[in-house]
Amino acid sequence: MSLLAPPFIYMLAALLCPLLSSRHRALLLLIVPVLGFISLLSFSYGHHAVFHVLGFELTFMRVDKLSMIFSIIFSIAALLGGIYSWHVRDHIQQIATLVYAGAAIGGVLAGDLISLFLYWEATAVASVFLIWARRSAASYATGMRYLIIQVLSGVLLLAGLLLHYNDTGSIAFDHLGLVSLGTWLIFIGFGIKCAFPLMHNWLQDSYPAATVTGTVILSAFTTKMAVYALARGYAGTEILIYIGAVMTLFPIFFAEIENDLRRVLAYSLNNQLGFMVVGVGIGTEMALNGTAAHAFCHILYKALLFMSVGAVLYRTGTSKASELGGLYKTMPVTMVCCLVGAASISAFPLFSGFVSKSLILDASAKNSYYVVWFALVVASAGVLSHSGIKIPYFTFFAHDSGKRPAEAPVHMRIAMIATAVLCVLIGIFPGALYALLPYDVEYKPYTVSHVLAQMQLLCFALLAFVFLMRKGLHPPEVRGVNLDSDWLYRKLAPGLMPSIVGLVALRVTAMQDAGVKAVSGLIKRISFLARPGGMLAVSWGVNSMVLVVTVMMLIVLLFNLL
Amino acid sequence: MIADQLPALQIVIPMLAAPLCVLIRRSFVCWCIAVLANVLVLATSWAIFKQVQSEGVIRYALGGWAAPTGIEYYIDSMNAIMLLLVSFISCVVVVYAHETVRKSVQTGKHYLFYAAWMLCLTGLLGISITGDAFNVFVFLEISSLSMYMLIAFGSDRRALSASFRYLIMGSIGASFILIGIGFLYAATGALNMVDIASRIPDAQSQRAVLVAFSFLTIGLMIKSAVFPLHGWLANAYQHAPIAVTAFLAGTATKVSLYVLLRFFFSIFGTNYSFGGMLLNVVLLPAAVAGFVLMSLVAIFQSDLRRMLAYSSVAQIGYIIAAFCLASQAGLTAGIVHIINHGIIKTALFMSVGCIIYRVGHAHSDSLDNLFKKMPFTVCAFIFSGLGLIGVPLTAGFISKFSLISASMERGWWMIGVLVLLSSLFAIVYVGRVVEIMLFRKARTDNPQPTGLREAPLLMLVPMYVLLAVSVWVGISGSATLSVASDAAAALLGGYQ
Amino acid sequence: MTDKQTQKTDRDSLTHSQLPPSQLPRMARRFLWADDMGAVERVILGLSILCVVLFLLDFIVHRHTYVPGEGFPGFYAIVGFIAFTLIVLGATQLRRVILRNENYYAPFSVDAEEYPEQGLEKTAHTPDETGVHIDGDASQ
Repeated sequence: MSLLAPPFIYMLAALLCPLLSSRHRALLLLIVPVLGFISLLSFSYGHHAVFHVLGFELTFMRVDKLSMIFSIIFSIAALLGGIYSWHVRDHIQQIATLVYAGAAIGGVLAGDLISLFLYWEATAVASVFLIWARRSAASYATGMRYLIIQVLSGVLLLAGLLLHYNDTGSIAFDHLGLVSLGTWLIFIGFGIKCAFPLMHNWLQDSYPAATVTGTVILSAFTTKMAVYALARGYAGTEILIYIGAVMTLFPIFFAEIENDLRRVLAYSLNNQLGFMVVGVGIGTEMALNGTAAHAFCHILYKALLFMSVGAVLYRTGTSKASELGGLYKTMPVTMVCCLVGAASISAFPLFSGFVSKSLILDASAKNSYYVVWFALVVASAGVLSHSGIKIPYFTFFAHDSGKRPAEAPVHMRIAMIATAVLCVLIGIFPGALYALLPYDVEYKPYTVSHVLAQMQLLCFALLAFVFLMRKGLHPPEVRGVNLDSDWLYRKLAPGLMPSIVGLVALRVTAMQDAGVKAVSGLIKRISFLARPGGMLAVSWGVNSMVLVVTVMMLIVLLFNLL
Repeated sequence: MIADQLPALQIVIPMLAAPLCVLIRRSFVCWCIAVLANVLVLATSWAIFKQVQSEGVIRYALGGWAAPTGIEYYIDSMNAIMLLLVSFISCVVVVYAHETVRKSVQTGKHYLFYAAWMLCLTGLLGISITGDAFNVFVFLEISSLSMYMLIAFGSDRRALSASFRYLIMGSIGASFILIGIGFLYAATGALNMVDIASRIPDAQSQRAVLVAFSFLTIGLMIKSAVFPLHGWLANAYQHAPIAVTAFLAGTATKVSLYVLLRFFFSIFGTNYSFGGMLLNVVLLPAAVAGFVLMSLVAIFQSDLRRMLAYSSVAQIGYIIAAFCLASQAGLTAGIVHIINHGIIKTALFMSVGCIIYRVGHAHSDSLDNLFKKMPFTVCAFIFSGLGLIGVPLTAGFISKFSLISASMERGWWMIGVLVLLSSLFAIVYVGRVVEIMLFRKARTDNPQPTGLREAPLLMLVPMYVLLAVSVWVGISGSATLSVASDAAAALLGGYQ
Repeated sequence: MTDKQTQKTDRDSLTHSQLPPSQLPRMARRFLWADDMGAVERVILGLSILCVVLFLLDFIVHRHTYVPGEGFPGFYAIVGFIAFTLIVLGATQLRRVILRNENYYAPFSVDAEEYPEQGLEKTAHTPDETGVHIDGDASQ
């Protein structure tokens, strides 16, 4: 029975994939999430699928309420993603999707740090194929950057877990807290995947580079797995509150002026993660409920937004706001779904964001984090600006681009409508969602105070939008790239090396010429050493080999005889 | 009755198969003989392995002559592992070799190829089984001479010069080893390893022991291609017939590493080698520089075989680094990596061999979108490549994990960090090739041969057998770990 | 007809077709007011009235508050308006600092390249395909 645990089902299906025709593979992508879901429900709370490996006891199925809600939403996201990517014939993407979704579910079900690490790396490796599958030079480079950062996160997790194991003799994945170097390393490993400020750039860099369907899949899993891991290991860690607050605020500004709508959504994803991280940081039952609920709703509406922008990209070949506009005339279904997603993320009453975000806001207010609370309120207005208004307005309305693409294909429409319906249903009947939350809920989102406050906030923000548009103060959509902290490793570091070398050489005037040439040559051309024919890689002649032998012999004798 | 003579059979079977091949001369029949002999050898080594596991050390006096006079075969769990590894890899690769030999070796000389192969196998097994220091040298020469010959079978003319270089370097290494053994004999008056080990502490001339130690260090470093004495390796791997490369990569360097282990840990003893002689002062920097630099070099290679060759030098660096920890955990990690890397690298070379078989060469430039044409080969490359990187659930992960935890246990953090760094390099060099084979569109200016299709079944099946074993090792990691741990304990414990 | 030509015609129809309302999907026709400035003005007027009502409600309804100052009448309205404005203005200033040419990171960034054609299906809207034409006739 434990061999039929959901993650294993996904992996088995991925193994099966190469044997099937593309139609059957697409079908498999629909069946597997359903099977996985059924299998998930068949497990009772507790530890299952325990294997002894390398002298460790690995728990692959730790089923409790917290892991349950995340695996449920991951299964739903996998299914919706499967419907949305029905047209995809590319087996690499299909296999990657299965492995990726399975690994993410495995990650949230992992009961110990080692199996968590296994799935942690598996998500990294599997997901990069969704980026490479775009098959362009740029997506290859982007994927490499993404992979290196993701693997780095895994490496930190591994280093941390080894240290932690050395300290405590336990690999259990329960509350860890920031108590030792090991737990700090694990924390940073989680933080990278959770896109903490200054570790966030992989997200905005890579999601716009994935395929149309790949981005939808990517948006659901990696970051939310990290949120789950934080909630499991670091609930109530105060620093998270402030990290989260910063995360909600700074991406807003970048989203506001970003032209590529998929990157806008990536920034907005970052901002939404901030809310969840704040919830984890507060760590009370209510706050953790809020985090889980918000992750649940967020996966749906963010997928919905990525789906609608993806559909536009699929039909027009671009997702740049400056190239779009007026599409509502021929893509009304996509537009309406996008509006539902926008309303959900902006947390309009009756939409899903409202019922989950208020939990986190209230938790921060009740625990007297007033400044943080205020930051979240401001961020809520900011969410409206980039995801609520900018995405639908500049894509489907605004100035008419003259593009008249066909409506999204039927399967995309089905996926979008299904997701939209879920968003609205959760918004209207939050009870069903609340029943899934990790702790018992006594919370009523639809009080007069709440609705009034939220409506005031949103309507006046809308009014401000109208005001700014009238005054011509709203920034127009222009083509371009906005710098972010990734500039440090994409431009500065590669560019700085020669100038550092130059500076050093200027100081040391005596050896200026020779120094600069030697050192900058070394740095610039380190590859030449290693290239075929380079010194390190040359096929050595017999005499030079013998020379090396002699030198080594001398060294050995020197050490031994002295 | 036969059970008692297993150690002798281990050597006699391949040794007899070699002249048989020369007598018969029919290509196909010779191949059959080679396969049959190999299967028998594999069965024998499995039986020995089981026997050692259940009954402990086997000591077998060859021809009934007892130890000081005659040659003694001494098999503890370390030897048993090596026997099993060598015979298994040889068995898989010799099956695989059939197609490649037919294609690339001159028609009239197939029987010589198989005969040389059998001799080489004899030598490698002999090194792994014997308990006599001089006998080690003899078998080393048998295996090396036949290996030079095998490399020279390469269809490329550069194979000859590669073989010649290997011959020079190999002979230098072997002479160093011989000199070392000579000095040991002079100092202790014994050739049997157990006797040498027991007499070293009371040897008359400690200086002679010391010189022996130095010569053996360098000789074994050359033989096992430890950086910077790896110069012979890249060319030999690149130009040898592909089956030979796979065989060589999986066994020859590994057996030399075993000899190194045997001399430094069992004969000289851990305290002497790493305490008195500071072996790690020489070996550790070489190992670390090896795995960092050679991984870096591998990134830039356009020929897959050359890339894998440099990666091999890097992996040997890991193994040596693990030995230098000179602890139970470190030795275990090193031995596990000998096993895992032997299997993984052989599988990789086999998949590259399939590519060469069809495409004609293995330049990364002309492998665009190869997955479409040769899905099974590319899959095998990817899976074993993941193992090379050390992705979890592969065999490579087990060894890297144990290496890193062993280095942490010893408190040598930097080793762990550098191992991780060079794993990142491995991601790049494997990832680069995988990207080309999966995603890059075929270019018009560098067309692959028309009618390119999947490699023949006789090549795919052995490759996948090897892959299956590596997957099994990866998933049930504890099996190899416990075996390696036994072997490490046996080595550290010295001779009883 | 080569691939290039079909693509070209697709592109042309993607950008230049001015379809009469009757050729649009029925659903889209419900939103055509978005192009009518008068209607948009009315919507904005509606929004303004709603805002005023919401603001006034603050004086009538007592909101539960946890945070000091939250109970101030129109707190959320003011925060919403000012926060939104400041974010937009702040972002505009930020753009002056960080905006670069699209080719800034090229060729290692997707900003500078078109999405590869083989992953797309750029069909133009055709009234017949959706059956709107017939619907339109029927409704007349």
